[in-house]
This record gives sequence, C-alpha cells and structure tokens, in this order.
Amino acid sequence: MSNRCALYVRVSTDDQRDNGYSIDSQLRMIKEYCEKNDYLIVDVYNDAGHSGKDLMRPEMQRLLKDIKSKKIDKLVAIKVDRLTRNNYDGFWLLNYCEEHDVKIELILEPYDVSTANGEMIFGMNLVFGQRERKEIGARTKRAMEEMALSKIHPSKAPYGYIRNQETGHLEIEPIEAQVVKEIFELCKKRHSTRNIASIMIDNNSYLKQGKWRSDRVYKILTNSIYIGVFEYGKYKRKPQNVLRVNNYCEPIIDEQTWNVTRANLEKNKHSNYGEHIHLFTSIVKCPDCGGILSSTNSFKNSGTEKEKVYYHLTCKNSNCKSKGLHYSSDKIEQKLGRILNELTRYMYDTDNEIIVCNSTKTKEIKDIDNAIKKLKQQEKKLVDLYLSSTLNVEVINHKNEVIKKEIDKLNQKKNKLDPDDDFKDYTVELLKKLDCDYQDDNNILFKNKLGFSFLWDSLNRKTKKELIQRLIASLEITRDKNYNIEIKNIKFTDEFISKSNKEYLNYLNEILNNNEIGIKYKEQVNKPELEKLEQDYFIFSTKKYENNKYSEADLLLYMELIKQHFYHDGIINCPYIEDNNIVDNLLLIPKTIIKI
Amino acid sequence: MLEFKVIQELKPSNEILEIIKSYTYITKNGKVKHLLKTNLQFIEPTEYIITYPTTLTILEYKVNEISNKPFYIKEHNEKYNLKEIKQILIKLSN
Repeated sequence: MSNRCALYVRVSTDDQRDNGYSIDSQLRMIKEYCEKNDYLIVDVYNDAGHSGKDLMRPEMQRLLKDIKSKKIDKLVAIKVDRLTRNNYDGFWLLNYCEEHDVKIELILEPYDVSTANGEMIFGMNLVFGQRERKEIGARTKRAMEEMALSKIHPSKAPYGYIRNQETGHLEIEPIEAQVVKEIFELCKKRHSTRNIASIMIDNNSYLKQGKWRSDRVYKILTNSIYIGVFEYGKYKRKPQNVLRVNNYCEPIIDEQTWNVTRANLEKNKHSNYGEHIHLFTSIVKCPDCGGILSSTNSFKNSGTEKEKVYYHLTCKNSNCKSKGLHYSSDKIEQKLGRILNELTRYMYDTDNEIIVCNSTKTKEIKDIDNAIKKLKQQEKKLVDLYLSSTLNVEVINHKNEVIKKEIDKLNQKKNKLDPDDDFKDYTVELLKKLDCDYQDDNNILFKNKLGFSFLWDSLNRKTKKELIQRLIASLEITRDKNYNIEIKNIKFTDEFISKSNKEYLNYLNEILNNNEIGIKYKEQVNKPELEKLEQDYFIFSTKKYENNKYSEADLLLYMELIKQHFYHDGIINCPYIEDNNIVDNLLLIPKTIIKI
Repeated sequence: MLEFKVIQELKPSNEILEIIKSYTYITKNGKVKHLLKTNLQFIEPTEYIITYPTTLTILEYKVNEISNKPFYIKEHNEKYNLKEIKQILIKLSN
C-alpha cells in the first residue's frame, strides 16, 4: 500500500473551548505524524466550525469523493470524534474506507481499525463521541439556564433594555422603554398591532434596525420581560418546560397593564382567525416580480345557503405591475393535486428508482455566476499587467473600476433573482434514500386501489395545508390572458427529497388514517364488537345491499348520511368476521347530528 | 403527464461485464432523468439480467455517497457492495 494520505481536521467552537484542539494544533500534530511515518500529504480537508453530528460537511463530502476516486490511501485524523460524533456515520465511514482500500489512522487513538479488536475500540470511541456531543448540548443548555437563573441575560437584549457589558444584567434603555410604554398604552386602548405599527412609523419612533411592523409590535406585546419575568425557551420548548425567572430585571410596565393587554390581544384576534385555512401560505411566487404572494379570501352570501369562501393569492409588492391581481387558490390546488397524483403513482410503480434533488439554480443565475467568474479573472490579470508594467496605473485603475462596477451590477441582479442563493446550493447535496426492499403490506391507499387523488379529495383543508407545506417549498405559476393558471415550476422540500418511496407512501397512509374526514379504515370487527358500535354508528352492509335487502328510501337515506358525514367527520370502512372468515364489508356512519 | 428529460446514460460496469462474459445475460443502461418543471431528478438503475447459469437480476445504482452498497439483487432482496457482488458472480461459474 502506498502512502498517499489525506488530513482531516474539524473543530466546532465548543470543542475548541473545551479541549483545546484547535485547527492549527490538529494540523501540527498530524503533519508531525506524517513526517515521522514518511507519508505523502495529498490534501488537507478542513471543516472548521462544522458539527460532527452528520457527514453533511463540505470538506467531508469532498473527502468522500476523493476516497472514491482513489486519490488517497490513508485518512489521518487526531481522534475519531474529529471524523464523526455519530455511531452510524462512523461505521458507515469505516466500511466506505475499507471498500475503497483506504486505511483510517487516528493519532491519539493508536489502534488498527482493520482488526476486529481495533474495530471494537473504534466503535466504543464512537459511542463516547456521540455521548460527548449530547453532553455538550446538555451542558450548553444547563449553562444558559444557570445564566438565566443568575439573571445574566444569555442573548441579545430585547427592545427597551440594554445588556450591561460587565454584569450581563438587563438595564432599562430610557428612549426605547418610553416607546414600549406607548405600545402597551395603545394596545390598552384596543388598537390592533398593525395600527400600532403604523402609529410607530408616523411618530418615527426609535428603532435601531429594521422597520416597525405588526409582528414586531406583537412580539413586544407578548414578551413578559417587560413585567420583569424572563421566559427562557419560550419559542423552542413545550410550555411546561419553559424556564420562568421572576424579578429578572426592572419592569417597564405594571402587571395591570399587562393583564389588560392580554385580554385586548385576545379580543383583537380576527373573528375568522383559524376558520379560513389558506393552503399556499408563503409558497407561491408572483409571476411578475417573484415575490411571495399573500393569501386573502372573499365571501359570497346567496340567500339561505351557507356562506361560500373564495381563496385567492395576491401580490402586495407596491412596485409590481400585477399588484392587486388575484390568483385563484382553488385553480392552483387543482393543478398541484393532479401533478402530485401522477408523481405518487409514478413513485409507487417504480420503487427501484431513487430521487435526487436537482440544482435549483436557474440558467440565468448560472450565467451570471459565470460572468462574475470571468470578470474576477480579468481583475486578476490586471494585477499581473500592473506588476509586469505593461500598462500604466491610470489605465489599470480605470479598468479596475469598470470591472468592479460590472461585478456589483451582476451581484445585484443575482440577488434580485435569487435572494436565498446560499440555501439553494446546499440542497443539491441531498439525496433520496435508497429503499429497495419495498413491501406494501401496510399500504391501505394503494392496496384498496384508492390512489392519491382519493386521498387529496377527502382531506380537510387543515391536513391538506400540512401536506402541501411538508412537500412543497415553493411554486412558480404563470397566468395567460384568459386567466388560466399553470404551474411553471415546483421546488420540493428537503423533507420530501430525503424520504424514501416507502416512507413517503407510509406518510400518505398515515394521513389517510388520521384524517378527520373521508373514509377511515378499521380492522375487522366481530359480532360483539359490532353490537357495541351500533350504539354510535348506522351500519351499512355491502352484503345486504348486494342482496337487495335495502328499500329505495333506506338507500337514499344512507347515501345522504354518507355524503354529509364524508366531508364532516368521516365514515369508517371495516370487514365483518364470523368464525375467522370475512363475511361482509361494512360502512359505519356516525349517528352525530351535523348542524349546517 | 409527467415529463422527463434524460440527462445522462449510465453504462454497465466493465468490471462486472468482465466477470459475466461467459454467462448468458443482457444489460440495460441506467438513466438520470430530470422531471421537468421540478427540482427532482430520478436515477434509473443499470440492469444486468443474467439468464444462465442461473437467473439473476442485478440493479446497480450509480450514485455517490448515498450508500456503500450500490448493487441490489432482486431475487435475494438484498443490497451488496462491489466486492460482494463480484464474489457472488464468480461463485456462479463454480
């Protein structure tokens, strides 16, 4: 075996603080080791600032590629926890290296991983590494909690306060505190958060950065720090796990104001809040400006019939030429439903294929990237020309300025087209898990020949919204002169991409089972169970129906009940057994009365 | 209808072909297909269908870093790495 070796170093800030293995010290140790053993260093892979919780680190990914392309024979790191802190990943990496004839050498853990004993110690170290990662997390959590209990503010000071640099305690910032008081006073007078935000803008109220917006006002109004109570973990933890520290800092408002504003905030909630569910919140992009469309709805009352709700999407960008135009949510829903139906069917039929996420960069963005790259090369050449004295300084400066302006222009254009460019680059790495041993034993959806479109039609709006939000990251639409809406592009979420076909179909089945409307499927029932069910359900027997045992009036009544309950609280389908044989198929219709 | 565009053909591995050259087999190229109007690409595996001395359908998934076992034998319902698949194929002739 030759001695081409790769150096892998990694440090996360916690490690650096606790163990002192900085990147430099790791590199120094490994280089000394390589020199001593006469290894040829081919490349250094440096994942500074990346956690060892998984292998999705840029340099680790490059290393894996290089291992595969046989560029190296040895992988040297100081300890196994530099490579990974995850058990599963560690063994995977060991297998991967073995398969490509790469030997792992760990300087501070001198054992041969290719032997059975070595592998065992490697495994044990991995377990310790994983435990340490969890401990670091717990330690950080504990330290933050301790800080909170000692009234040392663990993060940035909220609006209205400043954090004392020496003690870490929160102190009132008089100008901001005055604004906070005004906000609470306005809320006391039952002004809405949006209204308060506009008043703040009109008054030109002090704000260090950003703009006065309704959500900012709401955050202030719901932050108990202003009555001196700090809630640590308010947004991330379950309510019962939130750490509440009383007398944390000097209050800005009194408790009475706080209580009155709670009641007002509750009263100010839109009466229809939560009733009208918009399926495409923050997903659909404006065909003209590319901004996210806002959700709106309108109502139609026609005599005695129930109020009909129309859901729309509209662009609120004041510079957009299609500002004020409405895009029908229902039309987008129809088109998307059709696409998801075909895709699900395709995934069900071809379970041996796997999905990878495509680069989401558009051609236009790629062209801009190339143009910027070329300009940067020109910029470099200018320096060379200056050094070789081919051109005089003035000409070089002028040309340099022209290039810089051009780069700025292109960057601006790129940002406009693709504001979350960095995020998109990451998604290219994601792959759908390979899941060959596909079995559809539990697959109610397709086993009963129902398919995705059945599921889609029988979902309530809340579940449908959840499904869309979990599968779709963004939607680009187009609209022609006749107001026909087409879907131009769909970006699926990382969650969808990383789910295997089997996991995806199981997820759909889960939704089908948990759905509050439509048909729910129940395991087989016997006679005593059926007798119990008869108290709460009307029983429709398929066998009786086939033998014409129902009168026409009965049938009409059952059909009407099924129709009503299907879209309200759902009906249940289950087989009926006698002596372990299925003898009938039943539909259970709830006896609850539906108010229309 | 879903529209796909084939962006890459994945040819069978020469190493495997060398081992199975004396067997009766057919191969089917794999494909990387882009599902148009989405950010999805589907990878169709390369297939080696051996009919003699035994019946074996081997699928090869040419993707990096997803699994270190890119081969799948339908009849066994198992995944294998290159070394293992070579051993299985060599055993066939014995």
